[in-house]
Amino acid sequence: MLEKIREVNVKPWTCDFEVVHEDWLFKLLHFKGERKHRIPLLFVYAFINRPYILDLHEDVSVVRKLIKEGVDVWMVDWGYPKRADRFLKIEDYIDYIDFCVELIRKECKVESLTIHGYCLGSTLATIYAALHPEKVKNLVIQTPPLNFDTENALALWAKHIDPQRITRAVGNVSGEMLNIAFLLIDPIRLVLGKYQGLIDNLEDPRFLKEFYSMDFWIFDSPAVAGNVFEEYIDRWYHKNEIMNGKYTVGGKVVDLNRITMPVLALYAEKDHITPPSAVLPFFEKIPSKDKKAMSVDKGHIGLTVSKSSHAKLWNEAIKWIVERSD
Amino acid sequence: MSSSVIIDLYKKLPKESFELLIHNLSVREYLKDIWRYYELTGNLEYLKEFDGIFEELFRFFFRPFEIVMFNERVIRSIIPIQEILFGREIVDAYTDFLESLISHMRLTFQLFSEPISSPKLPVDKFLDDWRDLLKKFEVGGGILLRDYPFALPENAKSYLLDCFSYWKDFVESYESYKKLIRNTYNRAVEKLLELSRSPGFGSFEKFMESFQDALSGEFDSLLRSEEYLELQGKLMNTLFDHIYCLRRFLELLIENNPASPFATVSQIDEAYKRILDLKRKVSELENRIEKLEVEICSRKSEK
Repeated sequence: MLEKIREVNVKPWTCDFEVVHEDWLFKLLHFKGERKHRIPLLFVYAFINRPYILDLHEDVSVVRKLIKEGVDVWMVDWGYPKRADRFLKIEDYIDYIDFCVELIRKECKVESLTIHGYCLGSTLATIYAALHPEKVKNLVIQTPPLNFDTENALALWAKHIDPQRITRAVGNVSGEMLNIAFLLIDPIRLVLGKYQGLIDNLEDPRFLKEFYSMDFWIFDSPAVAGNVFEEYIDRWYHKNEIMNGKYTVGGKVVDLNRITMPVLALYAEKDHITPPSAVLPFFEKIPSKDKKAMSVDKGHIGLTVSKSSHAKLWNEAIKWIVERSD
Repeated sequence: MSSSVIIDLYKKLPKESFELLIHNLSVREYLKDIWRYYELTGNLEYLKEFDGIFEELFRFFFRPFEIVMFNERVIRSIIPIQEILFGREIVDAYTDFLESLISHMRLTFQLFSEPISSPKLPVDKFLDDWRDLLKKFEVGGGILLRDYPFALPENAKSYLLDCFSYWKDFVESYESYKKLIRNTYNRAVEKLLELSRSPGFGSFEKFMESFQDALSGEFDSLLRSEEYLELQGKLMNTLFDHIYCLRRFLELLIENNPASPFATVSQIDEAYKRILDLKRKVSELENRIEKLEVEICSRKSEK
């Protein structure tokens, strides 16, 4: 009955890339491909989970699609924080984005580039765009948490925990802790429904490959550095500082009025992690005159990996990016 | 299911993924049993299989808390328990008894294992000499054992007492938490039983779907309720405060022992913090140097 699972072969990443820079924990990746457009694109992934969801397998690889269209794709990999990284700050993440942007500007001989944030990477990308608008040609935000004052279970839980008490006890918040929390947010669908669905399809190799490609990714969870977790919960969830114009990085205020570059927001209607209300108030607030929002009737991850999203939303999204890449 | 397949999957799959699959296989068996009963009787009531499903579904979430419950045993293994502290005569008598027994056993073993007159091998001779040497430094541990509370470093006693106090609060919160989850599950099962009366299920697939819907409905409301949020918050706070106080207590014991060769996590954290601060300063200096170099170059070219 379970023999076929044994045969499933899951390998993350389908596109070739080179690690062009490493800074202890963080890495900058550059994907191989023919550059047909002047403006390169930098993916800024979340500091939760791993970035290969954007290149999970050939049928649903956002990276592959972009390369095929001739976009020069770069990506930040935030790595797996260890105890030694406990005192990293969100500011360090923003600094590394700036380092990568500078490196790409020099390498590609451009003034600015497209920054594509995913989930919490969108939050980082937006902060960066507000601080350095001159270096950001286009901003793409995918399932972005920007307004943290929402009523979904994750937001309610985050508002009811004391992050300092957690980090002083355990240092970093481990991937295992995060896995349990994310499953407990929707236990019946994620613990019962999903695996009962698997049991119904144990003889279908294609189903098994797709299921386990996802499951390996879902449970490949890096820890969140202690200080970063404190800032994330306290300044973003508890105080909603980005939306309130009070968030600062290195003493500089993150002013959303500086988001004047073209902005593409991609969100999912059934997202229980970053619901539409986590992005739409932000989208309405920013002064950019060239802004577009696209949505799918899917969940947080379905937007990235579902075939229906790839058949429609991703084609349109990549068209939008390509049109602004010369 | 052959055991070799199971072991292979245990090795291959992410641990959460493997565990959830195994639990769900059991859930499927329970659901089939319930369905067979329903098909046979045309009626559904609270069967013991529902308890089985609850266990399979929620073990995953309860286990991390239960691991922490073992901390209590860890503490007891470090701190001499009351009975030992105050039962001095019994301990002394028992120690005497054990020492004579060990000596008796050693002699008996020696008699049976080798002739008394045979010469000892160098290794045995050395080990005997070593044991005799160590015996010269032996002291009775009874007094130290009884004096333990006086020997704790200043802050350690506060951490120890707080650790006990948080542990007690944590266990209470955990019991309430389990009860809340269980009651929610029971309400969902009740809903399912109502559905079984009218209009019924029709097929096993429909029955499974109704079961999941009933559970989802109840748990969606629970996980956003004020009662749940408050209890979860208390559970987390007491859990992590307990862990913190226990760690600090153990750290202070180590830090206050001048012969300890171990650095504590807090001491290493402090070093990590300083290294990271220095790294930021270095990178700031590098940026300033780079800017200055650019400025100098442009001034030179202006000239």
